[in-house]
Amino acid sequence: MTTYLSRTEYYEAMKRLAAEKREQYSLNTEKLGLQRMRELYKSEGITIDLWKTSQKIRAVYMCDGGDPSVLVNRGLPEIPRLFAMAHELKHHYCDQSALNNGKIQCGDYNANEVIEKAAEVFAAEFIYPEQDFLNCVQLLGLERGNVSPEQIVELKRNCGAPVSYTFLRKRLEWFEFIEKAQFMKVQFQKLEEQIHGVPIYRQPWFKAHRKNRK
Amino acid sequence: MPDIYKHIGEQIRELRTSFKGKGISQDDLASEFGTTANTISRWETATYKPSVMELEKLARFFAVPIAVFFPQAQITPQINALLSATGDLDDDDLEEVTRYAQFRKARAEMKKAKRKK
Repeated sequence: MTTYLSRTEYYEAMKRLAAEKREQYSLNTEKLGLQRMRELYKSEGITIDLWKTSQKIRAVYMCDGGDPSVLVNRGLPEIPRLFAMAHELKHHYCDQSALNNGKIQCGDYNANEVIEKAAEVFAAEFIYPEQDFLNCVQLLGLERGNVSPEQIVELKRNCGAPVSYTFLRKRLEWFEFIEKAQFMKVQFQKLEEQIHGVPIYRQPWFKAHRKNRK
Repeated sequence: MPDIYKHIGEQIRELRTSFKGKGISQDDLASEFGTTANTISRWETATYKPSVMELEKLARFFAVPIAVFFPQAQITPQINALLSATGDLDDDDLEEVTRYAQFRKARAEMKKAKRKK
């Protein structure tokens, strides 16, 4: 008898899988960067191909012929690239047989919706576990319904996880610290620069210095 | 199994000599690729073995699929892939995914050829 999981159960299973894999590879949120991810891919036997694609494609997973590989959009900055690579890991762990049987096909977005959402859930938990996030939120004293954009900036700077402002905003939404779509229009990067100054690598003198070195 | 590199060499020569109806010299092709005419010549005679990345670049330059270098590689129109994308893909995006699928097959063929030797 086949037992079907509800969406919620499926997503929870993905979180558990992410936790298992983090433990298996002794992952430390603060040390999870592209180098660690590349090592992990190597251990899993997955080839990474940096590919020039449009901005819309972040990554593609293929595994026919027993040769798993991932196309990664080479224009992606570090944080979204890391997330996309974690996303594709879920396909590697869970979706190989469906892919090889032809049950999943490229471009069949409606049929793949749950699979793709589950990959996002896996990636989010893999990169920054919910419990770690909640601990950090508590430590910073964030209160439900009373979070300011400045506090989100501090959260990003203190959490130590390689995640974007969009990631944190969505997590805060999910745990109902903020309302849905709240702060959508806030330019967090700009706000961070106003509070903490422009990072050294973006300051004109540093750019000029680098240019001269080339 | 015929020598895969011999076939590749013949294809490069054919594509080069028929490029835009009048052909392109080895010198000009070499400068497009930042290599030497000697390398192009040796690819064509299968003295040197181009890498799969070089073949991909050649295929893009000549606007052909990489599969032309691999007559035995079966490239199926159905692609089994899972994508992480930020929106609906257009024809160009899907073409790029197809190119990648063909690139993978080409790489597998080259690995197979190396193992046989």
